Amino acid sequence: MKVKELKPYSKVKWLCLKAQEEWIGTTIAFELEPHAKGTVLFFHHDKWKAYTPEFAGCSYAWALFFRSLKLLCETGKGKPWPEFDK
Amino acid sequence: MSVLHLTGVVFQLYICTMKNQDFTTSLEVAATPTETFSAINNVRGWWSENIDGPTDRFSAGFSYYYEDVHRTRFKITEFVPGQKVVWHVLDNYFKFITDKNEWVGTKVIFDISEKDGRTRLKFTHNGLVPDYECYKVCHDAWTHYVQVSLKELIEKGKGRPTPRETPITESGSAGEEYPEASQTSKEPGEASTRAISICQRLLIESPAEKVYEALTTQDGLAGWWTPEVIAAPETGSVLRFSLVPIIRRK
Repeated sequence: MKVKELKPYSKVKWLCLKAQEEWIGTTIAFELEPHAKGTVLFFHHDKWKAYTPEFAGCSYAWALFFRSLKLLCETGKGKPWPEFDK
Repeated sequence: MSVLHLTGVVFQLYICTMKNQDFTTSLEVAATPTETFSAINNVRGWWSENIDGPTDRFSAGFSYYYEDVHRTRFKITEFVPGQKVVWHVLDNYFKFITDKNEWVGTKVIFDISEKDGRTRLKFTHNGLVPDYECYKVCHDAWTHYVQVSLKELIEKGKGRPTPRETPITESGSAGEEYPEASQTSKEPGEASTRAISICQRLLIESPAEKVYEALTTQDGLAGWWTPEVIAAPETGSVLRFSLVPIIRRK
């Protein structure tokens, strides 16, 4: 992953250079928006070429990882791999 | 007891409660009161580079803005070298709250004191109380800017202000966006090859500074994503992580 853009406290963007076939060339962006109760994270992983089983699996995995991120930020302890789906 | 008297008691209690609930945070710094004072007045060096107007003299007015989310206008109403600075909030706007009056009329106070050769800084946002809708966000943000960024500016000469905003519409600054966008729509006729996206959106009850740290630093990423990650919070750096086990291993 190449770190393409870093805008403190509001945006992080990566470009996937090397990974399994379907990920190469995709971009990953995390956008943060202030909210009365904290922060809203809007995430998008773009430029997938097709709706493959890999795409669907990743979609589910990201959701689990964001649960982990939420836990980390709110309680100080996340559930990173390999615990993320437990 | 007369009504007037009771009102007086209630009012005093109210004042008392207000005083005790104002947001405040203190720290000791390894610097002189004069150095501390001048760092505070270098607001662009610890809070944000998005500030218009002079911030380092008595009676000066300056404005702060953060994207279209927060705008505020201050007047410096006290300016005692080596001892005290007070900013009075003249106007304020928060995009994300319903009570548009929050912050208006409040005061941001920096008290510097010296004891046994140590300098102490007390930051108070007078009027910023827990009843405020924006309290949690403001509490966490001020704590970060004062305890981390201002402290580093005082002690190391460099803080961590929010950097200058670059308008996205300018072709120069946003140049990188266009090649990617055109890649996606290179062949308008081929709908089947058009790129698709995974999207997720969620509320995290934590300040943006903390979430940002979790997304950019190695320790942060290891704490929620995978311990097998190598990362640095620098644009252009290469972030490595072990992908195959994460996605494939169950």
